Amino acid sequence: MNFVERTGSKAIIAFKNVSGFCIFCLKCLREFLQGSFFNRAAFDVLVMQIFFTAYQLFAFFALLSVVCGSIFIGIIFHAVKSLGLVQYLGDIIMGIVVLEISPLITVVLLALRSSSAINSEIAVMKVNREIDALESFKIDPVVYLFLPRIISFIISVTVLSSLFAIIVLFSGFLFSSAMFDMSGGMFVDMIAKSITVFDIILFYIKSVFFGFFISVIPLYNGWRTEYRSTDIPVSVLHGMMGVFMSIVIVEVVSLVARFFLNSL
Amino acid sequence: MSERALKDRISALCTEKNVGLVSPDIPLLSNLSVYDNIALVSRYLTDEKDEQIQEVIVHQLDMLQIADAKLKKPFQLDAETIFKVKLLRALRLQNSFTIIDRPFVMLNTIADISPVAKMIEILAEYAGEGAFFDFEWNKSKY
Repeated sequence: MNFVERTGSKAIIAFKNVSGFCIFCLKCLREFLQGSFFNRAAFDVLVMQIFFTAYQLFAFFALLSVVCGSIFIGIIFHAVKSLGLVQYLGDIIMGIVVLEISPLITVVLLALRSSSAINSEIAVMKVNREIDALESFKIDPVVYLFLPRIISFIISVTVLSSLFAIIVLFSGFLFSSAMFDMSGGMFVDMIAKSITVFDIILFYIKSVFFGFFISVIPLYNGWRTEYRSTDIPVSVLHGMMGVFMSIVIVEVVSLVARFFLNSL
Repeated sequence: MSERALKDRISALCTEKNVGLVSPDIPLLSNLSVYDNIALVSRYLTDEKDEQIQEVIVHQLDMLQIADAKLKKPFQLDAETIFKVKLLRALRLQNSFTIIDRPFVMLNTIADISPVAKMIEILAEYAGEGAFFDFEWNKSKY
């Protein structure tokens, strides 16, 4: 096989992967718009998945938010005080910690914990022919297995990001009153002046996209696993690589969008 | 008939008809209990009330003497119980044609088909039309 043939075959494989992923996403979107997740069997899966993804993680996540939030806020306050940038404190808290760090830490934690889990779960189901079993009984795996997981991830990332942001803000209030003798009213006023409606919308849009990609990529990779148990780790590896690539891409796109909106 | 030809024929039938398949290639879902495995088909495909579904399934489990397995996961079951659960799951498909595919692969300790025939007889009020699919060399066991 010469260079042109090798390049061509790689391009065909890449094209098939991308087009397959797009078709998969469109099918999930179509079922979502049709409200298929209201099917009671699928709804049970949705509730269970929210329990596994968000509720089981809640206590640990709250603790992590307090610890990480306090560390970030402490570092930022120290830098702000030593550089004499107190007038930009609100912008720095909102711009860096709340709008960027909160969703990023949340999505990385969920990707490590739950994306890998659903990738291997679906891959194992595929290898064990459990997905074939569903199809043989005319149960659509997209409706029963995939859509509830995607929705639960979107809900979980959005809720946990918001929780992280709230905890960070509260931590910021405690630090500001301790270091700068700032009252609660002043702190709230400072934060309110530093945030626009676009920022909040972008925060939630970003969370939704994070939730979507860190679920749909592992699900797709699990689903297209071959009927061989040796393919399971390969599938999880590809899935997690895709997840981290998607996190970087969404983060970069959201940053560009935020700078673009702020410059308007 | 070769194994491949047998599988192709079953697949063709499944696309043509509403087929409840009991097959070694169609496993139970490993993360669901026995009850949930059987109820899933009805809960997904029909508007039947949960209470009605539960009543029928509990009765069927009783009839096959596996009521104590209701909340067990598939990995906790022996081959005979797994076969019974697969059979009950297949019967949940309404107006369907039930195919029992290679029963001696699933129940490799039975000498002939009579234990399976007895199960079907017990479940006669729920069972519709059906057929066995198997290799020719097992003909004498029927």
